[in-house]
Amino acid sequence: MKIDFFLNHTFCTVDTDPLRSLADVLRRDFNQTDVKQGCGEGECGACAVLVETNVVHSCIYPVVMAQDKKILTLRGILDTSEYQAIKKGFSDAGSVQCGFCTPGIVIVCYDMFKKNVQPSKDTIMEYLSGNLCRCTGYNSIFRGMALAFEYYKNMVRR
Amino acid sequence: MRVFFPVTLSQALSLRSEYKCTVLSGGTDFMLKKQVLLSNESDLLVLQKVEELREISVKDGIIHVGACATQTDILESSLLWGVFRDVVSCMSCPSIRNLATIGGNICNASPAGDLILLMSLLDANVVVQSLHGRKTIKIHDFITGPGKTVLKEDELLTEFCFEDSLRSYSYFYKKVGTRKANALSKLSFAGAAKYSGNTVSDIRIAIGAVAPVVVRSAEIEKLFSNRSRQELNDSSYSISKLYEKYLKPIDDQRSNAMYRKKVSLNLLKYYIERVI
Repeated sequence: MKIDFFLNHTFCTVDTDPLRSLADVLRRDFNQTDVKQGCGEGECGACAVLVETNVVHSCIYPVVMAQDKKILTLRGILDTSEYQAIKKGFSDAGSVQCGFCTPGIVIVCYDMFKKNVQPSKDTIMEYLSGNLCRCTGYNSIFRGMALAFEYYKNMVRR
Repeated sequence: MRVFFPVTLSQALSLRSEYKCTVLSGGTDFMLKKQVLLSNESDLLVLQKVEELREISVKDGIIHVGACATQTDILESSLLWGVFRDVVSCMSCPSIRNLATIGGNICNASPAGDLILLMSLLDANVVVQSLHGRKTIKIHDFITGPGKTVLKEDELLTEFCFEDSLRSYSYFYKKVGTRKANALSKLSFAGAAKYSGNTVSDIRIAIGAVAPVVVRSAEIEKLFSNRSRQELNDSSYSISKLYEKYLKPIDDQRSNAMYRKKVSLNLLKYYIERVI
């Protein structure tokens, strides 16, 4: 089946099994290896991408549902001020160890910024509840996100 | 395999009756079970573009929740009250809640389904539609066992209805799982009480994942309605004895029968002695 969608602001078409997962299509057919394939059953969040304005786990998102939708992966947000703030926040707080979970977490963080969510520790924990990290113990990620938010606020104010 | 994207409910109903379709709503459970759910000759009916199935509205004192309303829609709706937030915020995680729908949760008919417990507590009605008409079924009659519903091959579950006046009840909800997010219930407990003065004029208790379907007993609830708090407190032992015979939990990968029974009875006692 032919499926059309916008991937990182570019119009794309793929002819494939409609029930393949979006993560698989993005990685194999479009070489978007920033979308990590972790558990494959929606638990770990390494494959998180933005579909329209919602974060979804692309490993359990059938590609047929992406028809006519706008999809953003980590590569699609590299030029944004949100990403610059996240990058600085995460590196200052040492939020990245092996880095496998990072693309998914950055997408969640970007979504929080876009939705103007006040990043208290509780909201950060709730937003990140679908992302597993086996290295950091999470605290450095929480700190990184809070720092990123501070940097972002300063950027916007300027 | 043909894939259909109906835009209106009537299109969806005619496609459902014309072809042998598997219905895809949020897809979060579907993708994990697609080998089982999908036979070779089956077509796919994707409901995501049917906006009328996503509406949450109130009319004449009845709240209508469309079957394709996502858990995020439920969480953010101003028409629904606190207990919805308590239940939905314990389900999965925000990125799954963006996709997963209430209709999917109910049609899955898992004994551990969290929204089944809530709909059962609210005595919700399920609206089922086909080209031949529309019927309303009580949620207790809709789900007949684990994974089993009375939904026929040409029918679609379209909405849930319950009374708006239920918002005046006081609710208690407790889910027992391995972690706060992304965990399926080992068991779940919900209670609702309506007070007039010091008297509890209506009491409702629902327990999930301890029997093939959610445990609710109109008989016991009637017996202990219109009692004072003190009277209820004094009869907590007999209430839990009465509920005990309804609890038929099983051992599975998430928990075991003994734990489920013990903890649900403890929660029942806690609810009656401390919460009410």
